[in-house]
Amino acid sequence: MNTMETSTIKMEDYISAISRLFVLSSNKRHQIRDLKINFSDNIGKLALGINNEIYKKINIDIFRSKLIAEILLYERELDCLFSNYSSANIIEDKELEDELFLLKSYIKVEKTYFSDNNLSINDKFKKDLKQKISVSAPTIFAAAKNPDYLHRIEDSDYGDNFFASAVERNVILIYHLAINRENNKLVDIQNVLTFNISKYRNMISNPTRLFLNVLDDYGIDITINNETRRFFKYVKILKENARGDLSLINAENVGKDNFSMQANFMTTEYGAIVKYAYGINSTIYMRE
Amino acid sequence: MKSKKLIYYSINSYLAFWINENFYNNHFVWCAPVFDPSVLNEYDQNRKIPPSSAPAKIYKRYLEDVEGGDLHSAKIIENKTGLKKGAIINFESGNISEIELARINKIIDSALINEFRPLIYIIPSSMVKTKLKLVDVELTANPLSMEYQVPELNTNEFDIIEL
Repeated sequence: MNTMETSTIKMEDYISAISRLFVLSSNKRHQIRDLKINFSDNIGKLALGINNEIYKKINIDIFRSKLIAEILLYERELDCLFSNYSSANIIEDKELEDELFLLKSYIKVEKTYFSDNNLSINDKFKKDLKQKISVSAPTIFAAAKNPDYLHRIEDSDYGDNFFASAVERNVILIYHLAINRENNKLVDIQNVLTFNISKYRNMISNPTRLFLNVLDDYGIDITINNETRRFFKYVKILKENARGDLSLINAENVGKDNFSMQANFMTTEYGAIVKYAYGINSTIYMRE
Repeated sequence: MKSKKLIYYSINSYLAFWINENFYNNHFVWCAPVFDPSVLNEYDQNRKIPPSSAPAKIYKRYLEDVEGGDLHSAKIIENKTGLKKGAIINFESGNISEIELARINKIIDSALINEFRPLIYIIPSSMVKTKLKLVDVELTANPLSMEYQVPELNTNEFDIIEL
């Protein structure tokens, strides 16, 4: 761990300082002419401090070093500093594994994939539809049948799920859909969220990334088995004799009427299993 | 006779491709006007491209490290730090959020050796003529070497092959 006191430094400044050192070392490694990186302003001074830390640790000063092997060692040290900083200050103790599962597992599918399927809206979500979605139900169905981008995630534990994005006028619709467990010709719309196009314009082409960003901005922290995350995938409830229902999930700090939860449970002979769970903070979502 | 180059070649890891596709919507690449300078005749100026910048050599080195399971090889470490640098630059320019920066960092740190397998980008010069940038290297590097960067290469501007 670095000895520099990073807790009082603004995150953006620390990352920018690391960035300048990365650019300098990379330029040196590729023997690119000096691009006049600024080391005299506050961020530059912070970068000099980080360079000093690294020098104390591995005896390499990037301003003097010329050997490729040394520069690579230096970059490795920068990489460690950044990873440590990211774990301590950005994600803290949050587990990202389930979110990364979504990103790493999706496959792009033809947007006409659902044209032959019957779409239905998840019963629990139907109740909320009128008050929370600014787009009409026919538009929601039409855009779901022919979205602009469609991703499929198939997993024996998580199930067969889809994320889709569509643009209607100036509104982005982001869908979470799943194949119906009883009838695989039926696709259930689990959730639809709408946003002004300006909010997520550069993510429309990647509905899985878009979904995760929506959770970053509007999701709630949920706790299952004493672990808190924004998204859970396939977790066995440790409580004995637990049945699959929403009471197993503790949504903290939002109040019980201020969120909508999407979760899929399965009760097996071994106990309750949450196939997936996430929640949206309705108060913030509706306000925006 | 000086011939006009029709194709540029760039070697990138699968992980680099995947991160660029998923988070940045475009690719930053280094490229060269020939795949293997060592097979050119001695009068061809592209023969001067150093091995460290020759796509064929870079491809071979990546492949050897991946096949040898060497996650700590210089080439793979260089790739990892390059990807982190890219993530930080994208964060600074507002293309990705703070939590996405952390996600990318985690993806890079937990990547398996096979994710560093090399891909060859085949880039038609006609697609990138306005984006292609000659890298201004130090005279001591190799004065006759010509190396290029394409800062914002779109997916539809190149093809990918694996040998």
